[in-house]
Amino acid sequence: MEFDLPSLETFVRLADCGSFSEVARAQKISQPAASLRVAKLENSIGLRLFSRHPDGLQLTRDGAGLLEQARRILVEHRRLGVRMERLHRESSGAVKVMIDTSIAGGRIRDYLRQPANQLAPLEIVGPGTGRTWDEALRQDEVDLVITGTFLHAGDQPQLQRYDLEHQKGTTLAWNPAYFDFDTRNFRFPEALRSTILIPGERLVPGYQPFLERWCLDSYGALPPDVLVFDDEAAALESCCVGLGVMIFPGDAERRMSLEATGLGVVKTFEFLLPDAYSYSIFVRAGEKHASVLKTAIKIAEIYPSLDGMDRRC
Amino acid sequence: MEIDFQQIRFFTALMAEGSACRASLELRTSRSNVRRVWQLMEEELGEKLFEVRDRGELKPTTTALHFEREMSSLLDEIRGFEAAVRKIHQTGRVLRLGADRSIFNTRHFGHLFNSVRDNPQFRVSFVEVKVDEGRAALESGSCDLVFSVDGVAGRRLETRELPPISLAVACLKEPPETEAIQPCQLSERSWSLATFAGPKRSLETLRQIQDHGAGEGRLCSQNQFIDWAEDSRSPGTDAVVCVRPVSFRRLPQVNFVRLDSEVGFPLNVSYLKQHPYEFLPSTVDQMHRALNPPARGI
Repeated sequence: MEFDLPSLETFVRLADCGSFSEVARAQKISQPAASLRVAKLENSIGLRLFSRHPDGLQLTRDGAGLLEQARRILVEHRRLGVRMERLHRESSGAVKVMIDTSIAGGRIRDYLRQPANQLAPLEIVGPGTGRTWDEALRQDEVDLVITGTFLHAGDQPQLQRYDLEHQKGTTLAWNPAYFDFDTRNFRFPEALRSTILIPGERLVPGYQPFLERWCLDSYGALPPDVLVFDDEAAALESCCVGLGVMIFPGDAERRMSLEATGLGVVKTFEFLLPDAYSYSIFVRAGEKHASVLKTAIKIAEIYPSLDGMDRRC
Repeated sequence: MEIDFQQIRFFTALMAEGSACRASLELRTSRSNVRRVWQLMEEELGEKLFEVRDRGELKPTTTALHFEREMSSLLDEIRGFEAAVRKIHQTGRVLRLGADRSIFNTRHFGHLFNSVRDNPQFRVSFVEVKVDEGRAALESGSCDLVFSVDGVAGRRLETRELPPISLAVACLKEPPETEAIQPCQLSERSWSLATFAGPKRSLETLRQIQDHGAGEGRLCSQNQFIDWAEDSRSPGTDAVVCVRPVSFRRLPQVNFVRLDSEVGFPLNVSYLKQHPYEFLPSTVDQMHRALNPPARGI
């Protein structure tokens, strides 16, 4: 019984989406090649996995029975790759850092990109599309994560955090040309009558679900539209052109230098959300790898001056 | 980092055997191929996996030991998959036999089914497949073997001939002890041939029977045949030449007598050339042997 990994992957993907063309596109092969891979797997295990019907593919009973096991093989295989990469990083003293796409993150990224500032060979990545940041860190895909979090989203027993910044409440910002909110007597439900721009799970984990639930529970309605951003700069730009009201946790006015943009700004709920937003460095609890810890300390040391540097500009 | 199953197999063999030469024997491949895969892996990992000692003996590095340890959960899952497959093989894979209703309803098919029923390799189920849908049924995988009179044409299909379906004569007046009727004996009666598998093939068969000296016969449909059998006083027809159906017990006044002739309807079995079940050709052989009585076959 000799089957190969690409065929197994085609099998699992095909079972999930049911279309050869989609799988072929995802695996970057032609459609006949995808079909051939399944046929190859079927022949090597001597079982039919799919039956083809006019309205699509259907897993056979044998196929359905083997699907989960095949999925586990793929997961284990991916983990093996990740663990080997980590071992490799450990032995070569390299560090893989995930930095979110906030404006502060951009500064750290720029700073770390300069070879003179690197204590160890660094690989810098953005938040991936597949796994969440905490999974990526727990499963050894990256060694350091620098990200903002909302409330307790970052409090996990397997992770150790160091807060670079700690901010209260929530900031709302809008383009005064489109919205004429009264800053003095601001009422939150007013903002919910227009499209809102909020950070997504990859920018401020935990914020979006909280805000939606809060709108429903406290005001009985969701805003007409919610635009989710994984990039602070893009959200700011959209707010400036008047797409909607930006609702970001913490002191977004300072973080995103809003005073320079001429936007109307209100900071609210400081009492209700005393530790709404933190910008932190995360490492795995019990991390022993020296260059990871050194890099984390270096970032923590340099962070306040990075902030100031930008301010002076 | 992409490590494929071949690399894992090669690595495990190298770890177990401790030399490229012995690993190549174990893997049934060349020594240079083992070296190639090994080097490729070292490039991927960016580290050495083995140190070569004298006489080609290998000593795994710490990386290799780490790799072996990290790999064990993946190997467990692969073994689990293989075990699941083997379990399905042991309980018997599902073999779907497809055929038109009229073919299912024959003694011939009954023999055929009984010849493979006890085979532990598979468990048999039936799928009704209309005459012109055989190819679609096979290619879609809704059945594994299709039985038909004319065979199923298709580039991806293999069609093999099985012993033909012999004919019987349904008589109302024949005493039960008669064993067989010669075609020429039919010439004394007025008889019909019940159609089976399409009018063209039936007409051809009718001519063949007539050529054997059976005199003038007519064609009648399966429905007409059943009407005739149920209403035994209908005039004009003494006997119907037919493929003996299985479900005919409700009509005790009809006797079936073998037609002593080589004339019959052919039977073909078709299957995908690249079917995952490797046992299909041998199963067809088995059916062939079972349908060919040894007296005639040997």
